[in-house]
Parts: sequence; C-alpha cells; structure tokens
Amino acid sequence: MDDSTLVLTHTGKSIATGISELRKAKPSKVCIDLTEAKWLRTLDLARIRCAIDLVINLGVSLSILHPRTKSVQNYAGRMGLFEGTGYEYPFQRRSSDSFFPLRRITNDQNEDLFDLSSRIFGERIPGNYVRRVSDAFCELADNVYFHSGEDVNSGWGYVVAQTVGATAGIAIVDFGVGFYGSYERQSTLRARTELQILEDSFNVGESSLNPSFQGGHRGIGLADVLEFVHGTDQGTLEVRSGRARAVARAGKLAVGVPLYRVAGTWIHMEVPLP
Amino acid sequence: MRIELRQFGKVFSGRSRATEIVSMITVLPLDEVVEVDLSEVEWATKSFISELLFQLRNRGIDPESVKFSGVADAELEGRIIEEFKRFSSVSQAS
Repeated sequence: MDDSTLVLTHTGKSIATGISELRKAKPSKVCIDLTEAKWLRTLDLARIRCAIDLVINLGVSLSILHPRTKSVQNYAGRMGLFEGTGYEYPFQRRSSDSFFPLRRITNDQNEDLFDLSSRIFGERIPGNYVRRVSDAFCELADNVYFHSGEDVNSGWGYVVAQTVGATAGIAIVDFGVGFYGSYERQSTLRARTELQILEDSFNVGESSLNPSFQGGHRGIGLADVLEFVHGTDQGTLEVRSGRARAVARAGKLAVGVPLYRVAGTWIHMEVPLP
Repeated sequence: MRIELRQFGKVFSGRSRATEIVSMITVLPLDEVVEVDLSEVEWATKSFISELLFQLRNRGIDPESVKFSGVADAELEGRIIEEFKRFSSVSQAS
C-alpha cells in the first residue's frame, strides 16, 4: 500500500474519520481492511457497505481485505456486504428466516422492507407487533431518502436486520448531511444547536421540512418509532448524527455528545421478539 | 367519491406513494365526501396517511370531509384516527 492509500477498518471510529478524510482530500486508493474483524454487527455491516458505495461513487480505486475469521467472512458474504463489487467472496446463502441482507435505500417506497420484515419476524411474534416493527423499518428507511441528501428527497443509505435470540436488531446508515445539515439546508435551524436539533427531532410535528415552528404535516415517522420503542419491554433506539447522539431506553430519551463525529446518520434499533 | 387503495397495493409507506395516488385522480368533486376505502389493505404508515390528507387538501378537499372506511385492523384504525385528528388540528392552525 502506498502513502496515498486511505485505510478503513470495521470500527465505527475508523469509518467515521476515514469518510471525513475521504471527502476532504480524495486519495488515489482506499483499502477496507477487515482482517481483524472478529465479529460484525448490523451497524458495522451497514456502515461498511455505505463506505464501499461511497468510494465507488467517488471513482476512487477500492481494495478489500476480507476478515481472517472464517465465520465472519461467511456472515459478511451472506449479508451481501460485497455484492456487486466484483469481489470474489465465499458467499454462502443460507435460510433467511432470521435476517434480511443489506438493502440499498434510494427512495421512499420501501414497502418491500415491510414485507421482508413481516416474513422474517411474522412467524415468531403476534401480528400487531410485527406490523409495528415493520412500520418502524419503513419510516426510518424513508427518512434516509427524505432528509440525508444534499437536496430534499435525494438521500441514499443501507438497511439491514438480524434476529439474535429473542431480539430483532436493525441498522440504518447513511453518510449524508445528518440531522443538523438537513435543518441547515432548509434554513429551519432557528438558532438551535446540533444536540437540540437531534432532541427536537423526536417530537411529533418536528421536521426540517416544516416551514413553521408551529409544526406541519411532516415530522411523524421518528416520533412514531420512538413511541413504539418506548412501548416495548427493553427496546432501544440509538441515533448518532454528526456530533450528537440520542439513546432511547426504558421510556427515556437521553441526548449527548459522542466520542467522535460520525458521517451522516447511524441508527441502531433493538426490540424484543415477545 | 371513493378512493380504493387496494387498487394500488396492500402496504403503503412513503409520501411519494400518496402523491402518486392523488395525482392519478383526475376529478375530485370539492363538495362531496371523499371516502378512502382501506378494504384489503394490510398496513399504511402514519406518514403515508398524513401525506394522503395533505395532498387531498392541496387539491381543495377539506380534511373534515375525508372519511376512512373498510379498515379491518383495529390498531391500524386507531393510528389512522390519531393521525387524522393531528392533521386536522395542524391544518386549522396553519
């Protein structure tokens, strides 16, 4: 690897700082080095996949070093981490009754996510509950398209889900403008800080796309997802965007400053499968 | 005037779907009740319902004259009513 190669590993911090560097000074090559990855969570998969797409979109040469651990290799392949990259990979397709692989979000017509989610979780949990879980997936995915792009309705990102035991985990990642950037773009900041914007965004009727501070017809999805998570037993929702982080757990929403700034918005939701 | 959502699918998510559906209606009589028939519809997100009401209002339909029918699922019905009330109060304020 020469000096101008930017190396990213699977960790959140490496991806976050790497994407920032990639945008500041375009390197001639990017290497995504996953050799040391001992496990990959849904959030890891979604952000690595976003990084792969971003590098490809920017026209930068990309190389991938796959995980040394065979089970992690297989898992990454199964979840579609390297699909479409032309990269030779041991792809082992298995029964998909416990996950749905990485899916790119490019619009707000994500009804197929609802169907996928219903199929995967529907066998195990009551109908009303699975519909609310699936609803949450759709709302979060739609928001990526609405809010994360340089322009309204132009964002893209990835969603992935996996059940582990009696828990369903979903990750949604984009490297877009983030919550604050979305309000800045729409000139609806109204002198609020990045933390205030993130906290306010969970309120019904709060959206960067509502022209008035008195609310509007936008700003429903995230509030609805929060209400759902609060209504579950031990469900959690973590949203990281720029230099702000919000965690919903046990009926409370806590907002704070994370250790490092993230590119775009990273969401991880875990809900129990009763 | 009746809009039968089952003609467009079983699950409805996303605001652009609502825009699409309303734009496909060529004539919307302003003095009639608009009945949104959800027979055979499995689910609709709140955002979709909200956008549907918004798009109808943009076409001159008073939200108060929109009625939802055929909702088989009690939870979905509750969510629609909740969003309908919220939308109506926001519409009156703006």
